[in-house]
Amino acid sequence: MADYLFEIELKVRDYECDLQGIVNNAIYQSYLEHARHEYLATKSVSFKELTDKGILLMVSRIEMDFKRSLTSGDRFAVKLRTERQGLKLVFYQDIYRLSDNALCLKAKVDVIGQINGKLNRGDIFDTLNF
Amino acid sequence: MKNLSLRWSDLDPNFHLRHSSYYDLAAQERIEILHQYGITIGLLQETHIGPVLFKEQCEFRREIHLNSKVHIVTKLLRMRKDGSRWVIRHEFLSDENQLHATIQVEGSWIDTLRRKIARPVPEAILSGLERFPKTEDFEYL
Repeated sequence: MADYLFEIELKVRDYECDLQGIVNNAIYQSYLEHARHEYLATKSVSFKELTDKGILLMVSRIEMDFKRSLTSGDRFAVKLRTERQGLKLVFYQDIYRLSDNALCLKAKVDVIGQINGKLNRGDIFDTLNF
Repeated sequence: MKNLSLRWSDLDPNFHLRHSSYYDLAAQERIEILHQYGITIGLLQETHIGPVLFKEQCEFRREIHLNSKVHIVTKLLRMRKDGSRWVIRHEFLSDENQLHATIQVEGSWIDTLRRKIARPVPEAILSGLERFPKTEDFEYL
């Protein structure tokens, strides 16, 4: 896909692998979340500062398709693009192994905003320039 | 029914259960139930077979906090008759039966030595899957 907005390169750590020697499925959540937060940082938005102001960006749904397994020491890139869908900001995130550019994971992550306890209609994402 | 025992490290800066913890808790529940039906870690090691996931999806409905009384109901939603493909659904429910989250995982069995899909599925694993609790709308694929 040519229209990624952001990408970050990371490396699998030994302790992220399970009994089968491959990255545990829950760990991919952390990779995806870290990439989203780093993307926010490029927009001069800190997840922590938002939270402190009562602006919560919360994941309402995640869908992950596992294509290939990453294993210890693998270097990989998490790439993302976004799309506004009503009150949601949808992150399309793909993970590629760098050694052969193999697609390892495809994910769709729906994010909603809550301000001071009230669900936001989505304009918060415009305000934050996402 | 066993309420989840949540740890401080399961929470994120929003003071609710972090996403990855839902998956960890569901995976642990899955492994414990497989064990209960004879699909033990020992059996998996002996046969060089392990579960592999193709797809995982989660819908978050209500937040879970450190003091929330929540349990997981895990059932088989779909399965091939030979046990080579299955879909398991986990529902995170409160004591009042309110749905907090649903995780659905689609998977199979992999030969951990050859890193290929294991077929046929060993009898002991198939037998365990057949006894695994099933949803009301369970269907064979």
